[in-house]
This record gives sequence, structure tokens and C-alpha cells, in this order.
Amino acid sequence: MTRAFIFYLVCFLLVWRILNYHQLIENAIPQTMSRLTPPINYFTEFVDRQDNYNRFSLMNCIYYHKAVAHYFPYQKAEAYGMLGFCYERSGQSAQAIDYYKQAIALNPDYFWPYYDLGVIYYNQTQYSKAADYFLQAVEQNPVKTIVLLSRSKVYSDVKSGPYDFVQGIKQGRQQAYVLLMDSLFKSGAYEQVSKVAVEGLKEGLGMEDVFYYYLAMCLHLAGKDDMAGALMVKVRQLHPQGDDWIKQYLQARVRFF
Amino acid sequence: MSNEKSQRLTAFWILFALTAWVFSFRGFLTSKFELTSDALSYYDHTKFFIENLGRGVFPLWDPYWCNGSPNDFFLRRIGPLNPFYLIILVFKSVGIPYTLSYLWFLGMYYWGGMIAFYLLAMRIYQDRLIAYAGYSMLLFSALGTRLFDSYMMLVTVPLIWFFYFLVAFCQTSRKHFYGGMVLSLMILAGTYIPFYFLIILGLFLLFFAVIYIDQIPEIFRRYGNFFKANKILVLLSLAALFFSFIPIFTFFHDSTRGQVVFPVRHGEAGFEHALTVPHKTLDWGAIEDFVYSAYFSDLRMFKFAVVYVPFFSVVVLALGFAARISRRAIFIFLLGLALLCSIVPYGLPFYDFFYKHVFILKYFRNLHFFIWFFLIPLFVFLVMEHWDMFARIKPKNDKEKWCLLAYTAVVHGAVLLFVWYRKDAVPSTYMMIVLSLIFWSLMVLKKLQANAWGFALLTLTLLIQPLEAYHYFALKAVPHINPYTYDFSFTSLKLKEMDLAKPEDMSTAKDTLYYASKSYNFIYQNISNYALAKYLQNKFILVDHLELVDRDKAVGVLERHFLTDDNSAIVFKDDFKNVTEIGPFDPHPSSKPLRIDAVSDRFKVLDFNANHLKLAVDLPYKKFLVYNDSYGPYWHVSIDHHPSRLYEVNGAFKGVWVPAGKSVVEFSYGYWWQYMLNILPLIFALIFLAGIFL
Repeated sequence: MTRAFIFYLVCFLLVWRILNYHQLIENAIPQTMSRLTPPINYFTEFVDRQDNYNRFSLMNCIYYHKAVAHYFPYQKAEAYGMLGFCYERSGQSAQAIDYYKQAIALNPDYFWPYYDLGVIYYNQTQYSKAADYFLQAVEQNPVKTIVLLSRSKVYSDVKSGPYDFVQGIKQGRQQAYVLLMDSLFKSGAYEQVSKVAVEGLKEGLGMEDVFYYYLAMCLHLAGKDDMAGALMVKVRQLHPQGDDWIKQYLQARVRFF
Repeated sequence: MSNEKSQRLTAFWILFALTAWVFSFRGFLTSKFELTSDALSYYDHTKFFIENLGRGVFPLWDPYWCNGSPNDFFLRRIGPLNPFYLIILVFKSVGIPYTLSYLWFLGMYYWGGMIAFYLLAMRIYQDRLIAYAGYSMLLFSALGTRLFDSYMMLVTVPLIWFFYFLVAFCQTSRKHFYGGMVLSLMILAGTYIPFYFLIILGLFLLFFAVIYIDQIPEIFRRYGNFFKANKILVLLSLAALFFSFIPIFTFFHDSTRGQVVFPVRHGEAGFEHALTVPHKTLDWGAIEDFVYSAYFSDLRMFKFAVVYVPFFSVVVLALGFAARISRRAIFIFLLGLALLCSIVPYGLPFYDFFYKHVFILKYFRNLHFFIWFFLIPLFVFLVMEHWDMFARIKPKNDKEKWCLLAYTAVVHGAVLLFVWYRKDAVPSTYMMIVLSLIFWSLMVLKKLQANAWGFALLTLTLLIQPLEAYHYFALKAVPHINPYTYDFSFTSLKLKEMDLAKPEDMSTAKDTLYYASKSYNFIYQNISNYALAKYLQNKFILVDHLELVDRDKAVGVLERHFLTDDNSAIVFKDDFKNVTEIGPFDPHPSSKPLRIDAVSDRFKVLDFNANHLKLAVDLPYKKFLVYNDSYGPYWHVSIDHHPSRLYEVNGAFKGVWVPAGKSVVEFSYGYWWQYMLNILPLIFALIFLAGIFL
């Protein structure tokens, strides 16, 4: 009976008896998480210094969002989305894909995980898979994504920063269309490219030059050179210096913040 | 091994551990990395204090903080009667720059505390290996990181010394132990808010009295004998303690008068004393500190404010679980538990009760500081006690010896499983567990003693993990590029600020000031940033007349006045009811005031320091001199050595009528007794410090 562990056990049980664990945790967890929130300039690092971000900051971000997912289950979808993003930036594509897929499973109405998955597969030259995700991305109702971003606490710091997430979703959709057409084109689905291009033009997203370009390429491959030529004239009028502009479109990477 | 040889060996390993610590923090100690958070403010205010002291000025006023503020608050924070600050002056006198002098002082002061910890452990355990393990664990705990982002050591170090002297004096009633105890008490009384220490001491005495009740009469008898034999020393020490508490009492008294405000601290505490804090600011308590620290269990992420003690301590703690509990372990554990339970504002009922009924709890908000001031060193003590308890297990035969060895292996296996299960341990954690198993197996088998091999293996086991942790810690440190706020000379007074930005380029946001004079805080919060900056372009303005206004119209009048730059100074009617001299005395006054941009034959700064300003002025007509430095009740002014009336003008600043012709105007802060009350404790502290070594 004089062993140390018995004494500690008795003390522990006595404290446990008077402790209101829920009250303790209900204050401690939000307070701690609030202090741990990565600052907005930290997200800027990802975007502005894509090739030289601080790996410890990225690790910190991963830890933070894992903790968010653990402590706040109702924010899991957003946290998984951010985890996918962090893993993607740290070059761990497999984990990134896993987290993006979990984010989609938890909330299928959110645009960004589809888009991000599409980008990963596109970079891995898996154009067919990339096209699937880009297609699902453009099919999302952007209003639902904006509502989610507005309500989410995970993105609260991002919202108060310099990044306009409404503008971000607009650019994201444009980019998704571009990459969708290119993925379909590279996987040989020319007919679908034409459909997407026509749909994009109808939707009035801007970037008519890109839609005309892909439409012209598909028409050319389908042997309809007259129509293709007419569209290419329009494109050349906008870009007389050659085709480098399309590479810039394809290399652009948009993120909501 | 002879005692002398054993001492030399221990000294070598103590210095070795210190060298490893210096190596880990070399970036901070050479100023390659930046100080951060509270450490910045302490750096600034210590610099201000020390450099002024070096010039023979005890700075009771800080003209650089929020356009002039009483310096008492910052002095109380750093503890001006701490004689060890003079080390910085010594370093500076041999040509070492202030930044390095300060950083090296921090390192030395911290190490001094660790030495006290070692000496205390030696007093209690009489075992060099245990004492050295405790010293190394504390030295490499996260307490060391807080030198560079906080000010924990200003309380922790004298606190450890106090307990060392207390224990030493209880064991051997010698004068120098008594002197050391008094000196530590004085330093703690003069450091920041002394309530942290007073609560710790109160709890310590309470638990000691309960658990060691049988020893109390003997201790009192020894104390009585000492006091009878050393009446003069005891009276002198009581006087010293009394004087060391006086500055904190006068500071509290002055804060009651509402001359200064603490908007960040005070927050929504309502009309209570300016130093009180609302319950709401206690949201970050001890539990939050632990949850926060648990988040960084992957030591690659280790950063400031993460509670950390080398993981070897957990192994030792676990080994002691099977041993017989000692009275000392009960005492240490219950003391720590009681303190911890008292500082948890949510989930346990004690804190709310104390907050309501114990007035001192209303005066400080950072409850989690108790972890750093006391609970970390106390935890290391508990670990040492467990070591001692484990070492007291004496196997009676081979079977028992092998059982003990098996238990050692099981404990290490359990720790290893725990670490492996969490999957976030750095490689050195696994190495530490293996080394610890070897160390403890050899200890159980009596193959290892307090010789060179024993120290070497213990050092390797103990330091391998913290060395890796601090490597990652340094990787995330911010390079020190820009000078700190107070990295300038305090000998000159800037008469004109840089050119003013355009109104549209100036931010309209208002910060909550941390500490300022009440009137300055009022105008800062109510006057637009542009108007205030425009007005404060010059330190001195000469105007021709006073404008008496009602206080309730002050904001509008001051805003207009600052923007239009009238040739007048605003005085509140209720402050100066019988003002007879309104001016102008110049028969043809200009519409604009005379702003002093630079020294000239007609305006010279003859002397300037924190507490005093002496000007030589030559005016064609009697004019009113506005000195854009906050007004305060302890300021006084004289013209040609004759006291003159000092006005609070333009909402927050000082002003005085200056006659035509040549005059010497002197602004002075404080009275002789205020300086004496601050200098006397420092002199007493120096006497007691000298007494310890005599």
C-alpha cells in the first residue's frame, strides 16, 4: 500500500471526482486552437513563394489542420481540404489525393477539392482522371462553395486577409475549364472538348480566346478546316505573336486565397 | 573516489552541460537570432534602466514611451534592485555592445539559477549523480528558451536561490545563508508582481507545516537561537525587506490615483484599480499551456512557450512508481497539484473561489506563468525524488535483483511502445530510451557509479534528445536584422519628428495602448491619428496665449486646435480655475505658434536625461512654452531656479509661462524621497550580496 503508484492513483481519482472535464476542455481547446491558427501571411507564403516555402511552416499547417479535424468534426471537410493542399505543396501527392478524396466524401458540394485533385492528376499526366475531376469541379454550384467559405471557421483568417475568395472561385472555374479542355484534348476526347468549349462560351466565363482555340483545334482534327480557320483568325487577332499565351493559361495555378 | 576528486569531476560535467547548452542557443546568445514577444520589451526597458544608471540617473520617467510615461511600472517589471543587472554595466565597460552584454547576462543569470538548483539538490540528496541529473534536466528544459521570448527567469532564478538558502539555513543556521535568503526575497519582492512568489511561498509553508509538522518545533528553535545571536543582522534584514516592498506599495498607490492606465491588461475590469484584470483575460491558463505544448509533441515543431523537460525525466518518473512513496514525494506532489488546481479557471472550483475572496488574484492574469516559475523546477524535483526512491530499493537476493531489472526493462518497453504508438518522436527519443535502459540496467546491477563513466553515460542519455530538439528550435528562429525599439542613445532629445505623411496615407486604426499616462491615452483614443501626429511634430512649441475650455468639449476643441495649429495652448477650466495669465503679452502676436525645429541662440537644450530637462531660452516677449511630453503630478518646473506653475496643456502635455529675456527653464520629475526609496533597496541588496561572500 505504500507504493508510489497507489498514492498517485488515489490523488488522480480524487481530482477526477471534482473535475468538470467538459468545462475544462470546452475552454481549453478553442483557446489553444485559436492561438495555433497559422497567420494569413503564412498562406501567402504558399502562393507567393511556391518554390521556397518554409517546410516547418508547412508542417505546422499540417499539424494544425489535423488538430482541427480531430477536435472539431463539423469542420473536417474543410480541414481535410487544407491538409490535401499542404501535402500537395510539400510534394506528397499520395497523401494529398487521400485527403482531397476524404474532403469530397464529407462534403460533395465543395469546388476546390475536385479542382485540386484534377491539378494533381494533370501534373502526373493522368489526363483522363484529371478530366473527370475537372468536370466534377465545373459542375459544382459556385454559390454553395461561397456559402461554405463564408461560414467556415477554418477559413476565417483567410477571409480577413488580402485574398478575395469570391474572385478566387471565379478564377478557379475559369482555370478548371481550361485544364478540363486540355486534359480531354490530350486524352483524345475531341468531341467532349468541343462540347465543353461551347458550354464555356455559352456560360460567358470570358476567355473566349481559349475556347475558340480548343474548338478550332478539334474542328481541324475533325477535318472541318474552314470553320477551324475562321476561329483561328479570331484567336490570331487576339494573340498575333504565336501560341505562347495558351501555355501561360495552362501553367497558371489558382487557389482561393 | 576522494571528495575533492569527485567535486572536480562533477564540476567538469556541469561545465560540459553548460557548454552544450551554450552551443544549442549560440544563435540567440550571439544575437544572430531575434528576441521576440515580451523579451523585446524587457530588453528595451532594461537597456533604458541600465544605461541611465550608468550615467548616474535613476530613471523614474520614460520620455520615449507613449510621449512620456512614469517608468515605475517598467522598473517594477524588471526589478531594479536586482544587483546582478550590474553585470551588464561591467560587460559594457569593457567595450561589449549592449545587446551582447544583455544576452550574456541572461545566459549567466539563468545558469546561476541552475547552479542553485544543483546546490539545493545536493543539500537534499547528498548524491552528485542525482543532483547533476536534476541540474541538466532543468538546464535543458524549455525554461531556457524563455530567456529569448519572455522574462520567466526574473522570477524563477531568485526563487530557486531562495529555496536553496532556505533549505541551507534550516540545515545549518549560518549568516551567509540567511543573507542569501533575504537578498532573494528582496529581489522577488521588487520583481514584477510579487504575488506569484507570495502564493508559491504561502502554499509551500502550508504544505510543509502539515506534512513535516514534527520538524516545525526544531526549526523554530534553530531560528530562535539564530535570531537571538544575530539581532542586528535580523533588524537590518527586516529593514531591507521593508524598503524593498515600499516601491511596489507606492506603485500600487500611484496606480490607484488613476495617473496611468493599462488598457490591454485592465480590459473590461470596469472601475476597479487600474492594475486589476478581468476574469475574461484568464482564458489562457495552465491547461491551455499544456494542450498547446502537447500539440508540439513532434520535437521538429518545437517552438517558444512549449512546455518541455527532457523525456528522460518521464522514464525516471515511471521507474519510481514501483518504489515506496516517500514523505518528500508526497510533499512535492501535493504542493504541485494544489498549485495546479488553484490556477485552472475552468473545470475546477478553486480558482473562482480564490478570485472572489483573495484580492491579490485580481492583479495578475498570466496564471500559466506558474508552470514556468515553479511547476517545471518542482517537476524536476519530483523526478529526482523518484530516482532517489528507486535507488532505495535494495534487492535482498539475486531473484529480487533480476525482478528489478525486469521491471526496468518493462518500464522502458512501455515508454518505447508509447512513443512508437504516437509516431511523432524524433530519432533521438528512441536513442535516449535505449541509452536509458543501458544506464538503469547498469545501475540496478551496481555496475555504474558516480564516476567518469557514470557521468558520461548519464550526460549522453539526458542530452541527446534536447540537443536535437533545440537544433530544430534554432532552425525556426528569426534572424536579427533590424535594431530593437530602444536601440538608440538616451542622451539627446529629438526636437522635430520626421516629415509628416499625408492624411490619406496615414492609418486611421487605433491600437489599444499597453501602458500610458491616462490623459495621453484619452487624446490618443479620441483625436485622429493625423491631427495628433501633426501636432506632435515638435517637442517644443511657443504660443502667446492660453485658451480655457470645458473638459466635456475637449475632443472637438483639441482636434481643431491640432489641425489648425493656433497660436494658443488649451487648458481645462476645471483643472486651473484661477488662471489669471491668459496672454498674449506680445502686442502683435502671430496667428501661428513658434515651433522649435532646431537649437538656436534663442533656444538651447542645456541638459537632458530621463528625469530632467534644462533649457536656455531668450524671448522678446513673455510666452507660453509647451513641452510635448506627458504631464504628471510629480513633475515640477522652475524658471531661473524659482519654482513656477506647471500647467497640463493640450489635453496631456506640460506647459509653463516663460518671461521675456534670457531664462533658464528646468523641468524635473520626482522628489528626493522617491529616489531614495528606489536607491536604498538597491544599496541594501548590494550589502547583502557582499555579505554572502564574506
